[in-house]
Amino acid sequence: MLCQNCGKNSAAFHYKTSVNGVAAELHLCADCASRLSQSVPAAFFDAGGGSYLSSVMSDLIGSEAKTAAGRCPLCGASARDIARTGKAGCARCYETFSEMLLPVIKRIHGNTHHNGKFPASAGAELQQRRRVEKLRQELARAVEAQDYERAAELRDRIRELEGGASRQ
Amino acid sequence: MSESKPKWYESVGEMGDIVISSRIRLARNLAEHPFPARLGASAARDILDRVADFITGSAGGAEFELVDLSRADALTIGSLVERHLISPELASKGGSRGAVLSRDESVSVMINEEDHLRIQVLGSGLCLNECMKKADMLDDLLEGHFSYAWDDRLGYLTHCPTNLGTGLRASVMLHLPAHTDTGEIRQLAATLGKLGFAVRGLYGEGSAAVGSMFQVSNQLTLGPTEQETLDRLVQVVKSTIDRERFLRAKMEEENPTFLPDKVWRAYGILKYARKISAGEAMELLSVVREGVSIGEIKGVDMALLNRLIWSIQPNQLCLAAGRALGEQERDAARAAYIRDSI
Ligand SMILES: [Zn+2]
Ligand SMILES: [Zn+2]
Repeated sequence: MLCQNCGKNSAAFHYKTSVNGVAAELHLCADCASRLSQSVPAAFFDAGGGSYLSSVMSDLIGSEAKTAAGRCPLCGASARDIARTGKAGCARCYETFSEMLLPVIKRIHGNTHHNGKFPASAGAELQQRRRVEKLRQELARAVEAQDYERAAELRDRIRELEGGASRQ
Repeated sequence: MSESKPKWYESVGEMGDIVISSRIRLARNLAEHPFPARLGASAARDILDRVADFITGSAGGAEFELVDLSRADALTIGSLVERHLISPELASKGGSRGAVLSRDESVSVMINEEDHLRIQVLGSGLCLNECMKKADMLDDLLEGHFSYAWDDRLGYLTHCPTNLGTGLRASVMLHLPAHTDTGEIRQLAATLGKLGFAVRGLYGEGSAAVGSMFQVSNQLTLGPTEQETLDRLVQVVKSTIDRERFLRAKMEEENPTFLPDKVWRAYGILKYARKISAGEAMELLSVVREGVSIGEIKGVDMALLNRLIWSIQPNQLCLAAGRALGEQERDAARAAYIRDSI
């Protein structure tokens, strides 16, 4: 069997999973498997794409909606409103109905943590954390490259930053 | 819109024989306002005016112009949808909404679509990183002035939970006639679907594929960084291009007269027809494009074919004629336009 991604090499990795009771299969060569599938979340998506996502949305939100009471203080949306549309009324809805929405978000994205760009106005704590994360990655690379001078420098900067955080 | 300024689609970019265009879209919302679906009329007006004034009044603002859709005529709105500058959703919903467009039509900031802001950048060929750079700059500019709806954990907050995180939808429009001819397109869609990418027809969600043109875009926005998303999309696009070239070569080997015959027949109809529908024209232009791409048809410019994709659409033709045309008139005008062009 040929790799479903490149169609050239023979498939060495066979993934089987079940999405909403529907079996999904994926056959990849070693090359494509290592390049492509690492960062794919456990739930493979149906080729239908958008329609699959929205059906997961309304199913899940619908089942959780019964337990969430009250209205969003900013936009006035109720749990039922969100379940009906599959969409949030405002940014505050994500806080107000977090218990209902987080499991859904996890199901859709296979993740509940953003790792990308952030606005300069985002919390100082987040910026700090990201800066430390970045330095840690650099540190790992420096150690790997046996650049111990650079590694020591990075370690000091990480300590400095973390020390600064605990003093606040 | 200034007619003299060259448009982004009048050029051929990287891998331009198979990649028609690249697109970046960032979804953003303003803090402390309900999303457009629950936004009051005066607040919607206020957001539209404030964002448009800010962009057009900024340092590079002379390049931008607001199209206020609550005041625009149907032809203008329809033509913006045809040129992918606004979404069909923005066009058809009511209320205060609009788009700030750059004169070369590569940048469009939709205001009060499903999110307050949809920053969109288009480019010719495979150029996701360049488009991202432009979108990022515009995003930084807006962020410096407006306070965004944001959560330390969930990232940029959006109306639909499927856009949370980066709010990034990166897409590449591919011309895949050999995938269509061999029926492999279905398998491709299934495979890419499982890898977290959606494959859609030319005019987006739910629309059928026209002229073997398909948009491939990322589905996931929460978790991967922007760069990881772009890198993975570029990878699958490059594998798809390789596969398309492989299929074309295989067809050529197995049946050497099939493609030359197919592409010249298409050219012949386009060159001599006296009336033609948008659908038929798109199919035939797609085939001629394939002919140019494999080197069979010479003397037809790929950039011209790129331009024709957009300019033969119904609203485009009416705008060019300066009035609304009936279907028969449109088909005749379209045939004449294509005849004169190729
Ligand atoms: Zn492979
Ligand atoms: Zn709300």
